[in-house]
Amino acid sequence: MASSIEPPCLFQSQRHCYSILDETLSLAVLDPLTLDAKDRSRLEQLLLSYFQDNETGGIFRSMICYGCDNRSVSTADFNNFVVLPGSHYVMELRAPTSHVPIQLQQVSATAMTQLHNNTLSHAHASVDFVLHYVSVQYYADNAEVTFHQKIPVKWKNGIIGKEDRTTLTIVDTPSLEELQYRIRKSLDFSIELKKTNSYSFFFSLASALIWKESTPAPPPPLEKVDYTSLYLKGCSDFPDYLADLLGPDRYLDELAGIEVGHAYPEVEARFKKMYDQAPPRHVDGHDLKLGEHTSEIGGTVVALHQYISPSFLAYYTVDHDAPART
Amino acid sequence: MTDERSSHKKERKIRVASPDHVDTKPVWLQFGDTADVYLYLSQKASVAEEKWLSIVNFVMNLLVEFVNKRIKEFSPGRKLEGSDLMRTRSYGVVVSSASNPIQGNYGWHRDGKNGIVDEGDAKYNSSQLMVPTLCLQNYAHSNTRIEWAPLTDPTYIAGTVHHECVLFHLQLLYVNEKYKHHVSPGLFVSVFCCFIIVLLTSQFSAPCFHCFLFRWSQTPVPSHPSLCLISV
Repeated sequence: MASSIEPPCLFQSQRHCYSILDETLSLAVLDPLTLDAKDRSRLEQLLLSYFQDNETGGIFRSMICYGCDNRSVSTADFNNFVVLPGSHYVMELRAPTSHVPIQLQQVSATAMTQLHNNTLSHAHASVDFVLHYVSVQYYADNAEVTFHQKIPVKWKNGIIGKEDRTTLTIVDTPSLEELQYRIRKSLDFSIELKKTNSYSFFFSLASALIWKESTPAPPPPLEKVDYTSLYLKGCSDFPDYLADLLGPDRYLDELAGIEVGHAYPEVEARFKKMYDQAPPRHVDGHDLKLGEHTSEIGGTVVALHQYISPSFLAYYTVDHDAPART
Repeated sequence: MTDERSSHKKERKIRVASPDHVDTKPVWLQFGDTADVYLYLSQKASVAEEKWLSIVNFVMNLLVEFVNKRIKEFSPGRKLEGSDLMRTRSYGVVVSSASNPIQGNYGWHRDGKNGIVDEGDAKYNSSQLMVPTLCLQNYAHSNTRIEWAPLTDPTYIAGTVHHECVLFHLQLLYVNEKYKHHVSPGLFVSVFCCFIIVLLTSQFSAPCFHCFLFRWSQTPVPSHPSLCLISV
């Protein structure tokens, strides 16, 4: 084997690590028979340098998955969440044996078919994987994130960019770096929304798709509603509303649909005579100020004058006692 | 006309009536202040009283719908909780009182008594107490008046309603929390008796109302509008 281990390098960034990963996978998926010696040597060099179960491999895996160099990532997770989706589910890491280091090998045809049938599940698992890390690392003090229950599938689909399951193709699964970016955008959006509207749904589709906006507009702030003022204003405006409902000649009992007939014409006539002598009927609203030297209104009294029909007054004031004992 | 049971130190007659009344489960209504509390026991409401309650509930829930519609208009995109909206009212007890206003002793008071309001419950405290009151008198012109004064400025009369002939007045939200009121007799009060109907809302399943009422006898109808009181 002509290849040698690449001298340990300080990974400049997560992007740098991804460029190494992309180069490795692009070489690995090629037919070994078509690879020239130089490419074969380069592939082996990359595998030995960055994909082994050693310190450099650990840092590389951590940088790929989390963007930092101090997190532990198992080879299995790295295979599931990085190598398989990164190679469109055709390459996987082969476990080391006593004499052969970790290698990339082609996924068997049967397994490949299975994997291709389950790309959405894999993508969802990747979202869960990254969300778990992001929750602990960046939102540990946020109960909405930390103590989330079942994450809605719609939210996961939004994060991976698939609102419609039928359009999913295996080539579209985002990288872990991209997933982390989208998830953090989504969570930041939801947290801001919660500040202004405590009832907003945290893992909403809108938040899952916010990564699509280059500069997402902050959620429109909801003005704080002063319900006491609305109650007072509503009560203050009610007399006019009631007067409109009653119109020029309707009695309140008629408006309420109460029929009492004319069983007591003499008493009814007495009330009619009183109404004839009384001031015209009118509805007044009295907004009560809270003091002589303030204009603040503290409540309203509504007064309806001569709005009960003589027939109802006669019916009501004439004896209608129920049985004394029930 | 002496009825110690319903007058209790005042020249008036009181009746508490509820459609839900049964002897084994009556409605008790507290009158008086803490130092001199007394209770009235309900009677079965008459048909007329039930109809009056229907009118009262209709009007008060017109108000509830009107205010809640406003709140929804001013809260676009906001999920409203039940506590944000005005709750539906269900008045179920009538309390009637008949008296001459100068002897009925309608001095400065608030209607929120124990059993009618519960200051520890935001849905049923004094601020939520709305009092519909029907006032009848046997005189066709302005006679007595009802005045409200804020508790924070008790010498200031914040509002006055004159009782012209047949008055139905509604003390809406916060009025019984922030104001006291009284009935002020007019010039002719000693000649023409005044009778007021007041309804109080209550917080529990058997709400207590407070109403002042007079009744004319069925026959004979007097040639002049003087009153024949029927014992309640």
